[in-house]
Amino acid sequence: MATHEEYLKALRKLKGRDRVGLAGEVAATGVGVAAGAAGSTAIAGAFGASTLLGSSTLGSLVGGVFVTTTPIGWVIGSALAAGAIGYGISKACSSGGSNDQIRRETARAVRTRLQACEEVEMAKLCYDDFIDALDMAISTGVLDPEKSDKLIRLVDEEKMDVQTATKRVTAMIDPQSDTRPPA
Amino acid sequence: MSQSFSPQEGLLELSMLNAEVKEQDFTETMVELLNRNIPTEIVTRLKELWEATKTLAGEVIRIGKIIVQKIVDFVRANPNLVVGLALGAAVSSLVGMVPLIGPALQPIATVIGSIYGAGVGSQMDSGQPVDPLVAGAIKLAKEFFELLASIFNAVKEYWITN
Repeated sequence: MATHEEYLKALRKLKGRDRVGLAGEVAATGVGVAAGAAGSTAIAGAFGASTLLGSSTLGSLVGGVFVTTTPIGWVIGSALAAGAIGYGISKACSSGGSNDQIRRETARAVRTRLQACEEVEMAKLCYDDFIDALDMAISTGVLDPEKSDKLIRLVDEEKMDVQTATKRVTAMIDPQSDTRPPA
Repeated sequence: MSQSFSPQEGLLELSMLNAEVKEQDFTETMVELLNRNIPTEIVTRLKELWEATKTLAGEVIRIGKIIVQKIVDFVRANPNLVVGLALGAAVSSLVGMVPLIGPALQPIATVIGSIYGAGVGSQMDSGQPVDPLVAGAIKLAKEFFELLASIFNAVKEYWITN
C-alpha cells in the first residue's frame, strides 16, 4: 500500500490531459507514417525536447541503431526498418482519448484509497489520543489500571467508540472539559 | 550463464509467476510508477498491457501483469538509472529476447521511444556521450530479464498452439 503522500503525488500527476494525445491533435495532418512523423515532432515538443534524433532504444527494437538528423528522418528511418513503428506513433497519438479516460478512472480509484488512508490515519490519531488520556488518568490516580484495560478491550473489540471513550476519560481528568446539560 | 528450461519446466515456472502476480493491483502499481516520475502518458498506456492474458495448457496466464511487474522490479532494482533509460532498456531487451511478447509490448515501446528518444536526441545535440550509457543499461536489462526470457521461450510451443 502506498502512503498518503504517495497517493497525493500520484493524484497531482493524474491531473490534466494526455500530452501524447494532445500532441497528436496538434499534428493531425496525415495518416499512418506521415501522421507518425508529425506526431513525433509534437511529442518531442510536448516533453520539452527541441529535436528528436536517433533513438538508440527504439533503434534496438528494430534490430539496429540508426541515427538521423531530423524528426522526419527519425520516423522515416524507423518506417524503413519497421513500418509499424512509424504508424504506431500516430496510433499512440490517437489513443489519447482512451488514455484520458484511464487517467480519470485511476484518479477516482486513487482518491478512494486516499480517503481510506485518511480515515485510517485519523483513527490511529484518535486511538493515540485515547491511550494518552488513559496514561494521564492512571498517573493522576483518577482511573485504576483494571478499568483502563477494560476500556482498551471495549474499544479494540469495537464495542465502544474510541472518541466517546476518550471523552469520558478526559472528563475524569478534567471535569471542566465535560459538556454537561444545562442545570 | 542463461538457464534453459524444458517446456514443462517453463510452464511450471510461468504458473508460479502467474500465482505471484495474482493479487497485484494496477492502481497501486500506477501510484508507485508515478511516484518514480515516470510520465503519466507511459503509465496509463501500461493498462492495456496489464490486462493482457494468454491461455496456456488450460491456464489463464496474466502475461501483462507478469511483464509489468518485472519491469517495475527492474526499475526498483536500478534506482541510479535514469528512469527513461531503465524503461527503454527493459522494454527493448524484453522485445529482443522474447519475440513472442513483441506485439503486446509494441504500443508501450512506441511511446517510450517517442518520449525518451527525444531525451536521447537532446543529449546527442548537446554533445554528451550517450551510447555507452544506453549500452550499459541494455546490458543490465538483458541480465535482469534472462530468467524471464528463458521461461517465456520455453513455453513457445504451448503459446503458438493456443
